Amino acid sequence: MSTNDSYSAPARRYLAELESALAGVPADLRGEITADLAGELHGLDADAAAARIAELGDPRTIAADASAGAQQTSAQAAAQTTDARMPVSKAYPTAAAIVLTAGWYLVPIVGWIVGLVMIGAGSRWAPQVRVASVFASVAAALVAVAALLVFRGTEVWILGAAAFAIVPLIANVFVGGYLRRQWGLAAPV
Amino acid sequence: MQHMLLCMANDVGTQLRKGVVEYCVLGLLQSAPTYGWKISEQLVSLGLIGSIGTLYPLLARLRDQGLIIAQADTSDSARPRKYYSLTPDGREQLRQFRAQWQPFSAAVSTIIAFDESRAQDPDASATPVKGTDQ
Repeated sequence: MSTNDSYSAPARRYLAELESALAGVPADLRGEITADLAGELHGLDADAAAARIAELGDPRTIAADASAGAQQTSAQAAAQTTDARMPVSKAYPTAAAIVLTAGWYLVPIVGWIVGLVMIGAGSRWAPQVRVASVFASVAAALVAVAALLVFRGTEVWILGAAAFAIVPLIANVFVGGYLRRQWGLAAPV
Repeated sequence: MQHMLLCMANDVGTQLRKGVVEYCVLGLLQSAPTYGWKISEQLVSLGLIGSIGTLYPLLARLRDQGLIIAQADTSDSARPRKYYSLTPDGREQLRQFRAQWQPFSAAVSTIIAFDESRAQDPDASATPVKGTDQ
């Protein structure tokens, strides 16, 4: 508003009512609405201002709608903050890591495969994390089996047996740790 | 009962508008920067918002999300206005919404389409579920 002369009597009255109705609305929003609507009524004669006021509607309705909108904004902001602060449970990746690692020994082959399936089904891992983990675990299993077969019947067969026992353990421990760290970093699918 | 149904209908309308009105604002801004009153005039006439009061919190949210920017236009010194325009992120958001809206609305329309054969046989939809008391 520059000077009162730039506003007709109906415009001044309307802006005063609007200012009063917006008292409960956050200050920045109130300032934006009054500045914009004052701009719309600026320089209009009484008839033109009255016509524009009729289109704008009751200041109390505008204030009520603005207030409801501001509450919606606050609710959305609060929900986003809550989402951001909500800790993601590590139960699933921990279980998958245990099944993958212990499954190799407790229920040979089948237990390990269940671990791989759990990795594939984990919706909170990015697809590339799942692929890399399965690939690493399968590669370790192949190395272990190859070592067992290569050294079988030789004097150093014990090395093959040791590799068969230890390589999957080391690989799956690393894969399990990686999976736990990556859990929740991708949006759920 | 009639009042309750009317309230439910209003609530459905409110919920639907809440979900899409922000994208409608992005749509209105896609061709040229526009000022608040002009945006409000179109949305009110289409029944998408109740009054201009609804528009400003919505514009603030879109601005906070980086989807629109506001620039003062002082070329008309008698009536300086704030013009809103889309950012590249806003254009991308609108593009994604446009791509999803058509199949979404077509799917909903197909499901809720009025089925004359069912409407003529009210018993067909009121068949009691086995094992439940009526």
